[in-house]
Amino acid sequence: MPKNPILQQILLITDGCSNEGTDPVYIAQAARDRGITTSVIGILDEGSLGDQGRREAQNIAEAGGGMCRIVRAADLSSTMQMVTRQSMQLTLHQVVNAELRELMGQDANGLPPETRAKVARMVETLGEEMPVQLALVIDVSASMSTKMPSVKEAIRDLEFGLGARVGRYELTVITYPGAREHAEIQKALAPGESVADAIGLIRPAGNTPTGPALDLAVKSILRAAERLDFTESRPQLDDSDEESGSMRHYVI
Amino acid sequence: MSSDFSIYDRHTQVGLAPLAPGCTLQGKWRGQVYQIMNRIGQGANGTVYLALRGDELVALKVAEDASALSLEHENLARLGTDAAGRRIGPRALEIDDLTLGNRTIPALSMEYVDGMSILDFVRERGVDWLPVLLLRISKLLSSLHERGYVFGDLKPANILFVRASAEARLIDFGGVTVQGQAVKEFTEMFDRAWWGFGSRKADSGYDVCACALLGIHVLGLVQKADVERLAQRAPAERRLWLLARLQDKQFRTPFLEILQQAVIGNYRDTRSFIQEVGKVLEDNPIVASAVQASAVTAVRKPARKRSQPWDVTDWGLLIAIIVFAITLVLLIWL
Repeated sequence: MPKNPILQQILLITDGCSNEGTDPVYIAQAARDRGITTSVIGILDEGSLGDQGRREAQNIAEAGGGMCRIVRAADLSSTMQMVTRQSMQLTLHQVVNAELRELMGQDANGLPPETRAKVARMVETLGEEMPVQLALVIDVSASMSTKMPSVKEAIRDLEFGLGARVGRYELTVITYPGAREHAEIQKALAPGESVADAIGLIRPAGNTPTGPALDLAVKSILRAAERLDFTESRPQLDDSDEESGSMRHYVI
Repeated sequence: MSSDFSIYDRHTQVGLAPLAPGCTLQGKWRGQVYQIMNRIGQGANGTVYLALRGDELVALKVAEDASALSLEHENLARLGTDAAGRRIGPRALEIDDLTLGNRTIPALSMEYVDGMSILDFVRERGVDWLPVLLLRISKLLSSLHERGYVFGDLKPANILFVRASAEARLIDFGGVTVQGQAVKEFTEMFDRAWWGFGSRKADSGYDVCACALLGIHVLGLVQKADVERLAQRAPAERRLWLLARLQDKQFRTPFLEILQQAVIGNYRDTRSFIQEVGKVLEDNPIVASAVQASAVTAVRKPARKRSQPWDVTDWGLLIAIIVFAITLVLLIWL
């Protein structure tokens, strides 16, 4: 494991299929190679997800080493927390398993269940205490408009939930399609406020550039990771940095 | 187990193919053979089947996540009984990796509890039972709290009432959280933070709040449709909506008052909640006698009934005594 470990996670929330830019499955795979896990929540209401969208969601999660859940908008709060928590643990298990394979020639699943529980207990504690960088990638194309109020509440709720963890976190929200770009980073309007309030207009355009949006998430996570120093006991609030307003979500 | 599992089937499970009734699986580590009967439950993190293990009926939980399942097994084995040996959850039998053809399926086998959900129970035997049921649930919760744990995801699908004795069992230990950490799993309708009544840090008050919200749901005051509508609102608005609903005169009872206090977080600990609910039972002779009739020791016997009006038997007895006394006096006099 790295000396100063940070869990790096992307969570994609969409109700459709990508139709512009790089293949999101490829981006998720490339992110995974750099240690970033991608999970997907597909929103089911009013059926725009379809078989194709469902399959894509599953493929992105599989390539990204994360998990995939398809739910109704009303269940977003609990699902977002569950997927975030479980994909952090999934990532840790993957790291631990790689170590175990190196040491013993088999991963935790090759161990007897009782021993496996010990590994799982350790991973659970790490998942609760390790700092995490989370990028939420949110589809704001036209079909999402009726779901946006629920999505915003779920984001606020997730911030609340992350705040209850022992470890610190940094949350970045990326929406797509953007006004000029494929995707844009959302910043909290004022310190102490939720990024959810910053998510503005729904883009009526039919474009769904999921791949480029994931790409932006990967870049912003890697960029922020260079600046972050989670070993400090106090958050480093770097207000002069215009790149990302997400540092203020940093919680001790 | 009841059909109520399906009410809360919310997550489409991806990646875990269902097991067909009749198929047999063998344990890799322990060698036990399981024959699948039928599916009895489906949650976000696994599927529960009724299965035969030898000639014993068991509940078999299979899940994608072997680690989570092994933790659940550990929790159940360690916390499934209280200090006095009373059951809180089903008896954990074993955890193993089952093989079916070339598939390996992590599975946890547990004692099969022939029970019904709180919703079915109240539908069948009447809403008068609700305080008793909540009391039993909170006693189980209290036993977890005393040992430093919080149950977390309290909801109808995670509680069973044994058909014969009406004893309560918590049946999903996957969400059990160490006090002080963030609650591992929750469901909006029963989540203190979602309703804006507090944090999602695991403390005993979290479970007490969930238990009260459960009661409010069983009374029909909060339904799934309300949650879907309120999902678009901020927690502060949800809170106001719920409080207004609880204030509605047509629903107002002393019991609801207690539930409201519990939701708000006005009870110091689980014990005080249990005490308050216990008082409702003392004041409610119908339920109290029903409970006594079911010969359940868990519930305190009602105190002497104070303001009960006299019934026919009482008056008859009194008249008989007076008549007897008068006759006696007359006999001696003459």
